[in-house]
Amino acid sequence: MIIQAARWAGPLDAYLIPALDGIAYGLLLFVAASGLVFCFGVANILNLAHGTLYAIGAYTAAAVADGGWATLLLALGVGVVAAAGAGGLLAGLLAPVARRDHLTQALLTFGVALAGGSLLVTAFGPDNLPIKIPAALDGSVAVAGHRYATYRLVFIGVAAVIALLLYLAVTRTRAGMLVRAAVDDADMVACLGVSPARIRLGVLAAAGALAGAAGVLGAPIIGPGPGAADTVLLLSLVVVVLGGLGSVLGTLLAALAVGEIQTLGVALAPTAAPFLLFAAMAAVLAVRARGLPGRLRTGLRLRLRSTA
Amino acid sequence: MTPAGADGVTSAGADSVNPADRRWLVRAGAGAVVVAGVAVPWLVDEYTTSIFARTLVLGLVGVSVALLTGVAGLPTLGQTGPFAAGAYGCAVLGMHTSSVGVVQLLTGAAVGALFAALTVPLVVYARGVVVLMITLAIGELTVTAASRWRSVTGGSDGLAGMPAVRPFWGMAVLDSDRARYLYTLVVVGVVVCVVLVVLRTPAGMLLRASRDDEGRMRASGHPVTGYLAMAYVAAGAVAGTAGSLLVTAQQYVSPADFGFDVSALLLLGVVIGGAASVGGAIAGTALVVAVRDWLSGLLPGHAPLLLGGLFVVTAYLFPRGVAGLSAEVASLLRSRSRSRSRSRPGSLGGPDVSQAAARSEVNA
Amino acid sequence: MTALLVADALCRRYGSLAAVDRIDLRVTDGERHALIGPNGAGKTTLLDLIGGATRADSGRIRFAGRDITRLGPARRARLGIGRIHQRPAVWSSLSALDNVVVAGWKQAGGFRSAWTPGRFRSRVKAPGAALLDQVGLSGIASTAAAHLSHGQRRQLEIAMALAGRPRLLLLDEPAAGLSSVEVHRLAELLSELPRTVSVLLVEHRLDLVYALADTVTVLHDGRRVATGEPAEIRTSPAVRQAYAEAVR
Repeated sequence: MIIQAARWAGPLDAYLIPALDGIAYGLLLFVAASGLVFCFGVANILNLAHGTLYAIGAYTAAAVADGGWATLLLALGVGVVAAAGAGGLLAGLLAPVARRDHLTQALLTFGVALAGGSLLVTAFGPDNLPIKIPAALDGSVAVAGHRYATYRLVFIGVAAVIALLLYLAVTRTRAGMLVRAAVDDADMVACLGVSPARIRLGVLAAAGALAGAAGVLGAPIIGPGPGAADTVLLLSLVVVVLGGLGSVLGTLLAALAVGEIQTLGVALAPTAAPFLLFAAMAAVLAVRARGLPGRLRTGLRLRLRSTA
Repeated sequence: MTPAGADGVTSAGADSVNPADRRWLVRAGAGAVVVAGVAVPWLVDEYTTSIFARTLVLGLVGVSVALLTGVAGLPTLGQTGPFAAGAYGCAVLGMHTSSVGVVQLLTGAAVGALFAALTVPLVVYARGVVVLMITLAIGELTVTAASRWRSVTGGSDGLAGMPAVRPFWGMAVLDSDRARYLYTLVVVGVVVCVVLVVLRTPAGMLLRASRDDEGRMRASGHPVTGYLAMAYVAAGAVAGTAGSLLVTAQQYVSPADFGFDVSALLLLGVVIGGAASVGGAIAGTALVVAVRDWLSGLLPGHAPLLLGGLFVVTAYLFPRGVAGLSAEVASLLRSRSRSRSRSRPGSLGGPDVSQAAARSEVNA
Repeated sequence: MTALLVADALCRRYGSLAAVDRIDLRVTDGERHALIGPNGAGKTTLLDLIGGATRADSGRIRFAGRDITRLGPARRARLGIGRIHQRPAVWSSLSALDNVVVAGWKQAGGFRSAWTPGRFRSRVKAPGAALLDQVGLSGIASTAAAHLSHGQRRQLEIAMALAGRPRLLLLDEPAAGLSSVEVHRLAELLSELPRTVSVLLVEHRLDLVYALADTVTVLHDGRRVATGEPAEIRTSPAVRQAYAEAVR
């Protein structure tokens, strides 16, 4: 059946590989960006150090993984803990300025991003580091008549599972309910007796954990290097702007869209990719400003405007 | 027009200095700065003079940031976009068509304004922190585009080798750092004067009122989105002019001139200088650039680390918040609702209960 | 009597809550029409719908014969709908006089009236100063609005709304937070308004309502319960029921 589909696809199948890459990239961005969505939606923190948290995960993978499964899992553990710890540290740094305006927080997190990036480059050098993955994942697999990197295929699976777990966590658990309530009205959650400092710590640690996991697992895709943090931050911001804060599904669709633009878009029109992102943002923002029908309009538009 | 400060900003907090005295002080201070500015090339060496020229250019971009962040109420991390557009436009023009300063400046302004006009739909429907996000994305995407578009921008190698600039037809070419510095000083001075004059007209009042309470503006029939769009394009023109000055002063342009850290540096400088103040923008930006250069001289290669530390320290040092220096910006940034600004002057820092009400009103 | 404002079956829902549920409303030329009702009855939402700050989910609004349902607030303001907000909305960094000037700017012809200082003064500034006099704020014309008291801001916002030369003035609880002296002054000001301006007033202070209003509409739970002259409404059992239910 796959072969039938491939024959039917015909001239399109030159773009099959980039399209698959787009899904991998998009899912990576989803896991990474969901941390930023958390920070902003729940605690109203614009965390410009978000890319640095990803970079911590990626550098951990480069340092710890040596081609064996055990070290890969170890790298995942260490990366998640390290990035979550960095998130917690950030929460601590933000505590004294918690009640001040967003500009102060943005500048502080930006300072941390700059400093953190510099420290990472000092520790690991200014080059893009290679990642050693287990031999079983290092080859390629036949997909509809093409060869596709095994790691990426497996990554798509793993990331999809993480995405599903996130969705379930947000919609089915009590913590997730608190998260959704906080996105709607942060001050109400404070009234429920949960201290804002705790929320900040929890949210930033969770964001760190997600970004760190994305960094470790996604390192073969967006690898550790001086530009990684900036790239991830920029793309995460675009995902937040496109997807809004209203739903996990919105973030997922936005992340997939950005992923496809960065891969399929580049394959179709190499110099145009940055402009495609511009165009996508423009289209989405323009449609939202004019209003979308029903709940979509209220949810996305008010979210975009009222969270300021 | 109003008894408020030189650029129409009233500090809602305690104003211990008599307004008339304050104005005199500001004018005397500005005068002293201008005199010192002109004297610079004769006081320091050529290399430092070119640093000063570049600092002035960044100061002018800072003015465009202040125009948006403080006056119009759209906090921006993306003025590097029109800055870069103006710089590259001018570089291409300088290499192929004209080396007359006036033409290059006008081209820079036009390209910057065009860039702003093209990106305005992205920015003008959002408010507050979301604008920071969107403009940051715009600035970054511009740098990415500049690095990739080799055929026009020379990619990450940039463009160099423009012929020296003549300020006006029939004038001598600018062939020394001192000449280039003085040219920069004059142009920055002229643009700043124009901006100050425009801000004193009703246009400035309309922008400030839109920033203070947008809902009330609409209730009085004003097309606020249109005003903000015009301010954004005007700021783009100012940044584009700075771009062409950059090319003249440096004789080289590359994506590295417009990176992430430049945007943040600009915002920090503007906020330190008092976000709605034009003079403050230049002073603040110059201060931040000077501190950064001094720090990176101390620990070469670690400039980002020190700059990052500077950001963090600044965030802590200002007890009323970084934007507390300008009361209006602080209350603006805490206002989230598009329809009403819940500004309560004097209530800087501390929980903002009215904000919760605002948020639930808008979400309800 | 011609109807200046006709609202048909206006609806506005927030999720499952119907803040305004199929409300009809008519305001005739020169009328002083009051909206009363217990808290949560939808009065402010209704004003928002008429002023354009909120878009109705369904229903129609006609103003001076024209369908304004799809128009935004700025457009409606230029057509002649003025508004005072529950919490006085003024521009803090501008002086009181500049507040009125900017508020009256559009009606005075916008930028066309600003080309020369002389024109600006006669067409924009002088009428503004006169309005400040009318509301009793002439002494503080050059004070920044940020430094005004709540009562003064309320007066200022009224001047700002009048500067737009409205045909219909929407007042959202103008007496809220005012001392009794200030309320008295407010009542005088409102009663002195010419009949070229119609008034739609939301108010909790029933003494003010009965003193000023020609017509009173009672809202409860997003629905219109009754409309009539003040005397009728005062004694209407349906109205008493609505308030009693709200207290329960």
